[in-house]
Amino acid sequence: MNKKSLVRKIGYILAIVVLLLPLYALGRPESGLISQLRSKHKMGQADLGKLDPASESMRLASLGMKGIAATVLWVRADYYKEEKYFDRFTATLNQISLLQPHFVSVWQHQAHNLGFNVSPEFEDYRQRFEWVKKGIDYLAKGIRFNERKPILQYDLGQQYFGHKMGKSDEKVQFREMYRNDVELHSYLKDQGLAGIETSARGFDQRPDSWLTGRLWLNKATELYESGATIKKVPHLLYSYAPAWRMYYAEAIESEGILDSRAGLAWKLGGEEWASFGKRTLYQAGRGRDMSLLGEVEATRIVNEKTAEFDRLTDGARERIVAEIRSGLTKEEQLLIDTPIEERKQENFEQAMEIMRRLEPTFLQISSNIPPEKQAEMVKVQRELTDAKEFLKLLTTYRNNVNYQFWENRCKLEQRDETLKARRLVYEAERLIDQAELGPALERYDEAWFYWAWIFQRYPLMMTEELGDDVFSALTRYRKIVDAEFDDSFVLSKFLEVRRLNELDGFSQQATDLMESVQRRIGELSDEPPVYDRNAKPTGEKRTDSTNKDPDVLEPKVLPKVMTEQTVPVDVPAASDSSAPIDAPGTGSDSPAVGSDKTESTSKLDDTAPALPPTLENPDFQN
Amino acid sequence: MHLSPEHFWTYFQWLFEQGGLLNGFLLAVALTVLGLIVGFLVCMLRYGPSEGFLQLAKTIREFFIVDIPKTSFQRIYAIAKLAVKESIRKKVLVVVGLFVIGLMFAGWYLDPRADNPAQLYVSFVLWVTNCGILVLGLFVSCFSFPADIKSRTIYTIVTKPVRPTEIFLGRVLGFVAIGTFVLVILGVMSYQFVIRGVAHSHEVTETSADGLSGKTAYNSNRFHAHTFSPNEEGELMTNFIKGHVHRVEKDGEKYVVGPTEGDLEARVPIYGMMKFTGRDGEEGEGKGLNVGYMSEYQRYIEGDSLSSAVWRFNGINKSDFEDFVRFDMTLSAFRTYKGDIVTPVGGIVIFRSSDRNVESEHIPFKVKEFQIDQKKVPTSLKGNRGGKPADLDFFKDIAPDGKFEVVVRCTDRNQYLGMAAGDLYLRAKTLSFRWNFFKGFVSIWLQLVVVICFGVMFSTFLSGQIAIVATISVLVLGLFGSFIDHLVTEAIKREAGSGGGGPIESLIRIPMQSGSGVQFDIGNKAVETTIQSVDLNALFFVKILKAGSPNFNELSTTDFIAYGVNLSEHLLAKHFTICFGYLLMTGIISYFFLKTREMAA
Repeated sequence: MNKKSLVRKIGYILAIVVLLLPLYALGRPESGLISQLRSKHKMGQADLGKLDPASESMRLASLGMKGIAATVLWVRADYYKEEKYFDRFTATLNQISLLQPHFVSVWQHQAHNLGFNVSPEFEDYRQRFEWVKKGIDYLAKGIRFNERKPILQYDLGQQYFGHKMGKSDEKVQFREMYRNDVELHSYLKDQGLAGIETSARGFDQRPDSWLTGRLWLNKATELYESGATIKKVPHLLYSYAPAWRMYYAEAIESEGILDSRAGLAWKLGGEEWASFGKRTLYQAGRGRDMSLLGEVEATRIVNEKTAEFDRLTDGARERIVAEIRSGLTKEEQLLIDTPIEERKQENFEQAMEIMRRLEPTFLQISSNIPPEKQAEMVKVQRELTDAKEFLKLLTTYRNNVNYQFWENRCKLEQRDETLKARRLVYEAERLIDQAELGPALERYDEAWFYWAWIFQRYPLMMTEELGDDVFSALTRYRKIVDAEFDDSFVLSKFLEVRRLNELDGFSQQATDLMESVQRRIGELSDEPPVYDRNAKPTGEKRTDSTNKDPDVLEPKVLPKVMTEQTVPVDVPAASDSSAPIDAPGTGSDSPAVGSDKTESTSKLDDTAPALPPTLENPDFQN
Repeated sequence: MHLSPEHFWTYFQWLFEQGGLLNGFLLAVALTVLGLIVGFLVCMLRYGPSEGFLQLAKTIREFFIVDIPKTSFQRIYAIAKLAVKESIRKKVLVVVGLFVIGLMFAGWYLDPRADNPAQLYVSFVLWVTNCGILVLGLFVSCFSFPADIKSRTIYTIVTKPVRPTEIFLGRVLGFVAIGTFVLVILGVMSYQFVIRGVAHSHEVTETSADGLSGKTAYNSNRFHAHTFSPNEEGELMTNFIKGHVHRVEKDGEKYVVGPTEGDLEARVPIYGMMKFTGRDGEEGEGKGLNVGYMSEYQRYIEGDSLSSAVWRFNGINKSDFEDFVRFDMTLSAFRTYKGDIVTPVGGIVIFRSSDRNVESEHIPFKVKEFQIDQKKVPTSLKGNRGGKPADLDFFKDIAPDGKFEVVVRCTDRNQYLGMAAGDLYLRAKTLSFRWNFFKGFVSIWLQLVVVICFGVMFSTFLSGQIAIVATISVLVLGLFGSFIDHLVTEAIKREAGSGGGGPIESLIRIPMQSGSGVQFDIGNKAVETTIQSVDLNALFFVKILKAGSPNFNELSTTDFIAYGVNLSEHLLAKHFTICFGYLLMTGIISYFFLKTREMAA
């Protein structure tokens, strides 16, 4: 019995020793497999970020039940948030982060909770700002624990300093509070944001939220370039920092900084955007790297390869197309010969199908050329396909970041004319606040003159944000003058483009219109325009006996851009000035009048004043 | 802080009007009947039906005739002393050391950037003390009897003429004494921790030309700075940040910023009962609106309408107020559109007599969320009587018999104000924080007594480990009572056939991956019915257990202390009564177990 027991015990000891061997092999401190894997993937505590005794002791105190403890804390945090015990909510989040310091989603999710979910619960915008700061603090703490996770820096730059401070409803207050928050600046400096004292300074030498966000984004890209991973496509990741510079320029303009400082901001933004365009974007598994400015070169290669391919086919494509065409029925031929805009909706699909048949496949073409040329043609065709795919990808990337728009906008916004036009609108609006309508209208009129000049040279901007700004200002202007715009109005083309763009199914026409202007840019002089104030009678006062208030303006002409339904036959009263300007429907039968002042006023009101003069450019007149 | 109407009841209201006494009586009857049935069954098994009945009757008779009247306080004291010595021998005072270590490192886990650090510090120390002291009570009480039985030291007690009542009471008193001693030490340390934790000051850095306003320096340990200006009384006070203000005094050319005020205090609130009106201003079925929040605690009234919240106050004494009627509000706002971001949503307060004939002028306010908006109106105020403007005296015209109403409305169109009954109260006076803190520890002490009672009771018939598990079960039932109530009620409802189910049904559903919305179907109707019947009985058993367990959440008063609300004597008296009830219940159960158990076997 004793012997049996001894044998059993020896057996146990042997089994323990045998099981310990693989454990030893796996777990040796330096050369063990686990240790090697940890080093390879930089998963060691010291690699991940700061080692915190509070966090370690908290995890130790959970006695291996970290998961359960974390789950309980998450449930409790949710309860506190629902019941609005926000201080306890924050305290619970701190405990969660101590338990799960290297779980990046915890930092992201809970910081978002603080800055974006709890913050709006407060009525006072100053309290809201404090909670945004709590979100920032939480993420900054997360960065200390996860130094190789650029997504946290990215979130700080993109969401908190970018969207939250720069685009929320409270942006004006938030941005100003941020500029004045010396303690926050000092805290951010302590978090390694040294540039806050230099490159984040705005026009007034105080740190700006957009430029601070840019610093965080730069940190994220630096970390990414050093080999850290982030779930963002490179071209988007790289685009934010320069874009933030441009948003900074946009923001200071909206705050009334409409002089060379804004021009400089746009200039720097443009330069950074151009650098971004030149930056090499590594394309894993796609053969070669690209830069967004390489579109011209990529297009040239596609054209070159297409020409080479066509040369090799020796007219085979055309022959095949002619052959297929001859096989079409009369109805089918008529259908595809009908211009797209004249085709009926129900025939679209059939027409597309025929068009597809008219595009010969590579196999059809290759079987129609001599065998000795076929090998070379296969080679060229492959190169052409690659070049097309490359161009397509490049175009997609450019569209993703709206490259062309920002490039144009930077050029446009730093021009004196644009700054002047913006300044005039800004001043006009301040004057309206002070009930100085006469001077306000004078500034508006001058502003329209400059905007017309700008849109002639940058027509594609008419339907972009810039166009939105001008359109909003025009709407306010129209309400004040209590009139609609006819074709003689200096920005009538702009209004026409906007109207078409808003209509369902007419956006192509708007684009065509813009492109027609674009094609004539070369004919235009780049000389600075000179505005002739005396040539413009506007804002005339009402003279009839029913209203003697000199500040009430006379209604003007009926719009071409209004429909019969939306435009009242009677002259709209001052209180009726909210009728939509961009209402659909226009044409020869619309109740619009021509550019002739006498004619227009004779139909409505003899005392109606003329609208601002147009530029001497046929594209902007009828 | 969430308050329910039961927090507003006086002790006698709770005891006689709201069913406190009745519920206790019903529970006592139910437990007595259950005890008699179980006792009879046990005796019947041991001695047969007739002998068993006689034994049971004899034991009950002895309880009333012998053991209760002849209980000796001297012997109780002796056993209590023994329990204290035993506890000290078992090194329970180590808990104090652990608490000190906990406090030393508490700073790591407490966020000094919190909006109201005092609240955080107070809740923390009370929570830690509460947990620590309950665990202490659990361990000392559960292992006492089983350890004595195991080491046979119980012989020295039971061989002496000691009654079971004396053994139970002696043990409970002894453990309570040691627990009280520990609690006093923890209380003193906690108080010091809180006082030192929130104390701070500032230097004045900027002053205006007239010297009547200025700014303080940023306190980098407390993460805030203040501005200061004269208040209504003309005293220089800082603005309200992080739950406190400072008094600023001019000492010659120098400004001195005083200690914090308003963070550690005990406001004495006088609550009223609240009702909502509809949009027409009429009280009907108006319950206020839910604007989409999960929490139903606060309900909302619509702006720019007659939709109102009406508080009715009773028994208000003029002596509680001098020249002003002070009231506090903790309302919230909900915007359906952003509107003017800078200006908060506004409302009005109207004081009116209970017959609604006299009312004050409208007192406008702008909502201050997540802070106590302290207001006051002079007792001589303008208003109207019978629809005509008049100068009013608050206590003569509006509240002649101590009864009046307070009406709150929102004035901004399409915006909403949210409130619960506890969000507007009259502030009679402010008491010392120290006294309130002490009362908070009295609440913890009451919980300790309850845990010890249960621990001692379970240890009279269970082994140490099992007694621990049983007492922990009582704690869990007490702490998560509302969750268990919800779970059981929902499960019982589902037993009616709408899916889900009790414990056995759930165990079957999990491997079958059958969701709670799906009808329970295992292919055999008879088995299904049996499972559901067993489940139903199990759920009712849990429900009864829950009803007999103390509600520790109700006994906890941490929020009162942390939020600076005076813990009323009525609430404390209610808790004392509940605690006494459990002492009685566990004492009787323990008596019968001790009486019938053969200790020296």
